[in-house]
Amino acid sequence: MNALLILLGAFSLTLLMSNSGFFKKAHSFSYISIPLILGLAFSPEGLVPILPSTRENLSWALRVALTWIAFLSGAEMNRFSFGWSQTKKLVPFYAAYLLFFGVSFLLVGAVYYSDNSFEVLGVSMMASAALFSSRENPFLLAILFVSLFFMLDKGIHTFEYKDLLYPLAIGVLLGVVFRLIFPPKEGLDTPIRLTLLGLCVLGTGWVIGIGSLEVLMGLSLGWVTAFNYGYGVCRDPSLNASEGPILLVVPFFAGLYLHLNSEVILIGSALAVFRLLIKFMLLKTGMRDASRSEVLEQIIPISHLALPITLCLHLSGYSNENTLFILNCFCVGFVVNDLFALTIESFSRRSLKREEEVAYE
Amino acid sequence: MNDSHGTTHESPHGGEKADFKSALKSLSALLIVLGGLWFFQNVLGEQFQSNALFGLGFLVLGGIAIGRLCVMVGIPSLTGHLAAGIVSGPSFLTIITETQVDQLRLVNGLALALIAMHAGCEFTKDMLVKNFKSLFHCTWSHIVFIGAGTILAVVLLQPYVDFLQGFNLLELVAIGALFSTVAISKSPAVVVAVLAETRIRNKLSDHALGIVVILDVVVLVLFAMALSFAKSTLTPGVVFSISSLGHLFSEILASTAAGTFFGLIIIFYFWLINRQRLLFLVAISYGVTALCSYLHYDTLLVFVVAGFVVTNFSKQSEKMIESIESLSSVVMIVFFATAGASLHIQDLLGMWKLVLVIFAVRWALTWVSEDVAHRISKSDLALRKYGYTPFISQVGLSIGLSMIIYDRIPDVGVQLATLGISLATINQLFGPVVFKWGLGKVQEMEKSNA
Repeated sequence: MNALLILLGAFSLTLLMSNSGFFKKAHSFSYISIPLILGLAFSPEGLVPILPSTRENLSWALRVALTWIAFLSGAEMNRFSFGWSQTKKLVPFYAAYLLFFGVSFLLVGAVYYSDNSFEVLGVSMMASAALFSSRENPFLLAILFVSLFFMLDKGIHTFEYKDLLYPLAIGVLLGVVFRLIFPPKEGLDTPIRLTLLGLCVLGTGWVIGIGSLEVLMGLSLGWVTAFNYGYGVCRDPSLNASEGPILLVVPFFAGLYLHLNSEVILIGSALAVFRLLIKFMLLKTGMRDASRSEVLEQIIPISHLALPITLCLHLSGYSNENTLFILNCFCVGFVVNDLFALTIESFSRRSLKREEEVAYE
Repeated sequence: MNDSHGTTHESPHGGEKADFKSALKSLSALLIVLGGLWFFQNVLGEQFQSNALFGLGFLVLGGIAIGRLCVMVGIPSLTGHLAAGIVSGPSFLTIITETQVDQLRLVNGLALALIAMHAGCEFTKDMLVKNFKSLFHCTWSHIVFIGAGTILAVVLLQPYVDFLQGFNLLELVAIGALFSTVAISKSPAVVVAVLAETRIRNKLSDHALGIVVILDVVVLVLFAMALSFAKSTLTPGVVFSISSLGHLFSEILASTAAGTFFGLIIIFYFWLINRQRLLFLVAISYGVTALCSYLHYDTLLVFVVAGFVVTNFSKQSEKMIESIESLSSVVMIVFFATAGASLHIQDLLGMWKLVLVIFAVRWALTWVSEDVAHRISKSDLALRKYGYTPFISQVGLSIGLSMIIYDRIPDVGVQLATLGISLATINQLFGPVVFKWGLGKVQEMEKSNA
């Protein structure tokens, strides 16, 4: 019952946070950082530690939440087009990522000791992909999956092509199943949404049963569902609203798994600083044109999908000290980035207000 | 469900509207998943380790598919959900194992809370005043006729039942009294679920809701008395004591008070905040269930009272029923499918002759008690003819009581518990079908009278 009460606590926190007026105003600040820090306080090494067994008892809820977020992101991805203009727009972004990856490799290599240099390469590739992703471009996370192939063979399982293929296939299969049960409609009522959740649960169990990554299944299920429904699913306001509570529950549990030390804090903070510098370099050199709101809402915030993926990696059969290191670095970087984002937004607002006052006078 | 009497509507998951096409599509969806799993294991040669999450999702899918198939042929969808659970459970396909069934019981807390709150919301002061006479007479007649009839059946069946051999008359009466409480117990879950699915509101639905809730509380008192009597008779050195009854009454009083308090909290939340209602209901259902288990309160009574308070002392009942119904649509599928998966089909097959006799006796006694009560209270002909139909079903409470008998009564307890669970299994399979049929018949009679 202890585990259940903690879950209830996380839900109550969700309710409180999602209705908080202060955080609603800040667009660049992703309030994920607060439950993350709260989760850290309840971690086995935190101020109010809970038993690891209690945490494991709750892992089923967490894994369904991870799939659900991936599902919503997959549905959202259906919106992206792959035209020439889109590719042209992405070239500077990937060039900047290469730079960021180089910095990450140097930093991780300097601090993270490993006999295998490929492993250092993989860890830095994954950590940099997760941190450099943004709300406007979550495709970078594909690098995170691809790097799994040859970098993380220390875990219980070794990542193979089928580990990438099978979850995607299961997602497609369940997308067809959903299409068969409910013909496309304008919106999704609660029973249909709950059935969709049921299918997500089925897929999660299936993917866990074959020892693969459930977020991949969620992504493909979301994409296929959005494709079948003619993108109607993505526009459903109540479906998208369900993202809010889960976005808060997942970071809370991510905090429970953290194991911070000075190296991790150093690398995570440094990477967040470099990320911001490189992003601003892109903007200042004119390689990427963006309005003030785009910068605040799309470019600075890290992709919401990055945290679930890094957490999923650590909970899966591929889990080892590398995945924990990536999760730790990412979470520190995420919190630091949020602090930067909040500062930049408050300065930006103040300057906007001043400009308005000058214009009024 | 909160509509005027005698109306029907479409229900979630195609309750009334399920046609051949949608049933076929749902069935093919289920077959696709089964085929996919088979392909993974047998063609690709991959290992698949079944787990509770897969079981939960599979029960949702299977419940919808077989439920729609049942609706198509005029059977309540909950029978389909049960069937899905039985087929995929440990008795047949073993897609869901015994351990996973236990893990899925977490859903039961939520389902029972929703059922009880829904039942409470249906109780209005007017309804209670209007049906007071029939409710009163039916309550005592169920206790007297089913209670006495079951004791008599146990005594008369002694020569033919192996595990009853060697007991004297007093001991047989004690065993009969204990088993009679299992026989008296009904299934509020089935009554609420069938009413939610059919959306029929008439005299029978009001009557059914009233009796199942009242008897749920009364059975607990009777069971405590019968258990004490049976223990003192069957166990040497144990003396009959009624002190446990004092505890029980205080618990019932405390449960009522707690239910009132939580009802007020729900009113307050719906009136003042009125956001994330589904999430709030989930949180309060699990929170209060955990509290009731800790304080030994009757969970069902607490939630029924909470629902009653919301309906009769505020204007929030419509919002609450709407939220409960939308949440229930999938929760109930899992609840009944899990119940189906946990039914002991092997036990039923092991003593099918005895179970069939007890099933027939219980059915006849239910009919007699209803007929007598409605004659005394001068109820309508419709109630006299079909009043027994909601009370055939048995599930959670009867299985719970059987498990207590298993734990507390030495020697004969194991067999009695097996008999009780087997009886619940067969009643659960037939009960919803009979109730749906009865509801339809009463509706027809009301229409022709009008």
